[in-house]
Amino acid sequence: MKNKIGCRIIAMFAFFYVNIVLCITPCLSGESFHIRKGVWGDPPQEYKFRNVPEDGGFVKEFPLETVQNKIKENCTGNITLEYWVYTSVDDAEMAMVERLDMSNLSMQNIIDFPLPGGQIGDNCWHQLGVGAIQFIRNNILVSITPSSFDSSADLSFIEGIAREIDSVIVNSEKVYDTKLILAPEIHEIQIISSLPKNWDDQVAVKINATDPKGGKLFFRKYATGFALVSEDGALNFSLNKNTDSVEDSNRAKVKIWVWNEDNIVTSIEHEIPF
Amino acid sequence: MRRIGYMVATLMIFAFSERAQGFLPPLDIDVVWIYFDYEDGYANDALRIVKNASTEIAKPEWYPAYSRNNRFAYIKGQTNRKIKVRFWHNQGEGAINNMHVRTTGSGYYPGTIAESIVYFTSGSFGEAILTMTNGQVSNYVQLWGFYYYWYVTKLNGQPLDPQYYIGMTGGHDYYILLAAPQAPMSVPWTDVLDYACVWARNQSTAANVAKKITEGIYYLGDTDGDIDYDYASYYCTDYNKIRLMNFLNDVKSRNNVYVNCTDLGNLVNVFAITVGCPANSKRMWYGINTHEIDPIGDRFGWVTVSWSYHQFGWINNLVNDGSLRLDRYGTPRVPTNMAQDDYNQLLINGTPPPNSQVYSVQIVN
Repeated sequence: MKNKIGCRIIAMFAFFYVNIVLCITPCLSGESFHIRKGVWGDPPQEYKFRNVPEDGGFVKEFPLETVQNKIKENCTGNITLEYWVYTSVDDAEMAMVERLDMSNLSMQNIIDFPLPGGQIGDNCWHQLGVGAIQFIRNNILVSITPSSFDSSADLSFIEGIAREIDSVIVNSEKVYDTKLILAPEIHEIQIISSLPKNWDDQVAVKINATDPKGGKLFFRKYATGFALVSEDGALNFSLNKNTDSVEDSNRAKVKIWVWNEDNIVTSIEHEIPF
Repeated sequence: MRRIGYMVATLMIFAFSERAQGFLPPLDIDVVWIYFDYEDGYANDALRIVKNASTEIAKPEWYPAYSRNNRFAYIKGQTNRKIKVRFWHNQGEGAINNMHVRTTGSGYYPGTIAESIVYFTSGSFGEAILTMTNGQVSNYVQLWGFYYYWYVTKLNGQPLDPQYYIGMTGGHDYYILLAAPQAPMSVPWTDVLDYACVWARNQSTAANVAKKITEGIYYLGDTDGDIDYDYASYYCTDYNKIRLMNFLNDVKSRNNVYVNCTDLGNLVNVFAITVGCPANSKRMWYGINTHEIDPIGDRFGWVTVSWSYHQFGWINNLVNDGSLRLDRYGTPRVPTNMAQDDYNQLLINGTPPPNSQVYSVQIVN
């Protein structure tokens, strides 16, 4: 889905998903961190996040118009902008992990590779060599990449764009009750195939959900390719031991993203017995 | 009674012989259908193939009454392939006890049917398993076809002169695989063979098949203009698990298909395996800074990139990377059948990553 604005921002629909918080580590600077496990690989990679205050509030929707106006003045090239609004910081972080782990673009955590201009978002990964920045601010995940990947292009403007967008989000109105976010409402998830017997067995589910604005919805299982999207709530997938196992349990737990045309995302976790 | 019966039979043979030569009622014999894969296994007949994970290939493969003419598959070099054929005649039940048929062929036929007897054991219908002789399946991967021209040489044991021409069947289009299919494509998909057998046509060795398939995947982006490289995986659910049907459907129906190296490494793997070429994919990690490369599609052009990992096809312990072209020595090329060290030298600007793993692909849906 493409959205041309100002200097041609392209908002692409894609994906996302879950993860386990492993630990909380205080840092010398007074900041504390937590680690989330990646989604693929054995063992999976680990990703470090800054802890953020629980009372930071939530942005109800991405301030697209303000962002357009702000960056129009500073944008000197074509960029691809993705934005996703989650109903929890946990979900936003899980989505970030999924995005980092299912990609082979080498991204640097701003915690370990700080930028001279300071922090972007609550958590941020960057690869300025190719002009890629992904950050989370409150419950919003933003990804910026150049529309074309020309090695010789000057991509320094992208960091500035990211900071502009971050400042717009910071200054946006916040709510403190996630029910005020017009996210898809998930009513029911049904297993419509026979129950699996082993990992890698196929499972078919049907998710009954509605969009508060009556728009289209999109569904995807956590940790599966970004093109594997359903538009009718029917999802087929195989159970992946790496991503769906529950410790000390003979059940799988799958997480499914559901989002609407405004890229407001909610999720559901569902246990599937063997 | 026995003597009268013999006389009647003799008269009927004479009569049919006359009809076959144009007397009334005109003799009509037809081929009703042909099975190319009529039994389990492929010792005698064609391989079992399916369209994809959810769609079987209807049989008999050639069945004009149902407007059906489905493809089938053989392995290169096979001989004496058998087919199961049903015939019909218009002379009424019991009028013809048997006939002898033969075929000539045109196109790329894997043999013809030498004179063989067919018994009409079911009223006006008769079936027979007939052997293709005087030829063999070609010794290389292909997708092509042939026609058979059917003749009746004898009716109830009596030679016909001239022989009765039944008509033509075909075109019988068939895939030729390099070798016996292997898991996870032990039953090959025609949705994959339609690409792979064309890309690898006329190739008779695993190395050449690997090269052609790898290049075919890379240039699929350019020829269709709808596939582009991205860093993220769009069709995998793990490093070795690919949603193949989603990819194949999207390639046919969408104009903005994105793939990354994990998708493409697994695609090279599965496409090669489908034509009988043993294959895996291989991933190496972490930290790769590249020389100039040209990723699949036209979104990137020649770029240097920084990857956390990279994945590619791994066939006969050689690199077959359908995700990019290298240009280290002034000649852009898709890396095929390349030793790992040579590949590393051409791809990586710096030290190769310390870790690697070889995967067997799984197809998930």
